[in-house]
Amino acid sequence: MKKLLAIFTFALLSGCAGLTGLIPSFWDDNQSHRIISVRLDIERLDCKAAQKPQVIKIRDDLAWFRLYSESKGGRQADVIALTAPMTDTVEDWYKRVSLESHKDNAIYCDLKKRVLTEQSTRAAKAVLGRF
Amino acid sequence: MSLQTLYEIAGRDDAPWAATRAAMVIAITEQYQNGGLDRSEYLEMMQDLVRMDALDAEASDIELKTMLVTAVYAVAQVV
Repeated sequence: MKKLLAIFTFALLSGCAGLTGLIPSFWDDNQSHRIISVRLDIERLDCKAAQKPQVIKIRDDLAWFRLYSESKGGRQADVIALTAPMTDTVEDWYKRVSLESHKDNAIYCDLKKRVLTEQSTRAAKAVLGRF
Repeated sequence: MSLQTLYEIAGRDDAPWAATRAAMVIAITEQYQNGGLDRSEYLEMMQDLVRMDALDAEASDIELKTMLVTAVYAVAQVV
């Protein structure tokens, strides 16, 4: 009976169409650790300090998460897609602070921090809530 | 949508996620209007809010699948 249920679940989640992208990823200690590192980076963002090194730290943690997930295999597509919008948000910021003419804007940083706090809170809840 | 509508949404208790999002749009727009953000920063921040919707959708999808797996596993324990 349990085997039957497992087969049923697999068929249901794969949409009976062989779409492996629809099979959910499951709990992973490393992903859980890293997504909290991202949250911590964002929580500790100090908009009165130089922004570039802080942005690089968030960017690196997100890159670690993506590379680890990609290396782990195809079933991680959902968590890679989950963190992609956050990566785009950080990438725009990184491009801005990398310009030679850039001058840190604390207001922009504060708002970016608010957005990233929302994004990372939501992402962490989903990553840590997995079976 | 006017800023007044956004203020109304931001004050709602029945939809906290919408209130939070509306409060962000207001904060970003006010900073832009007051000169705290330039146009490219303002447009980028608005794009970030759109990205937040995409992230919400992905998170909800994962949570739904997790609920389904958990429910099936619980049934398997009982049967």
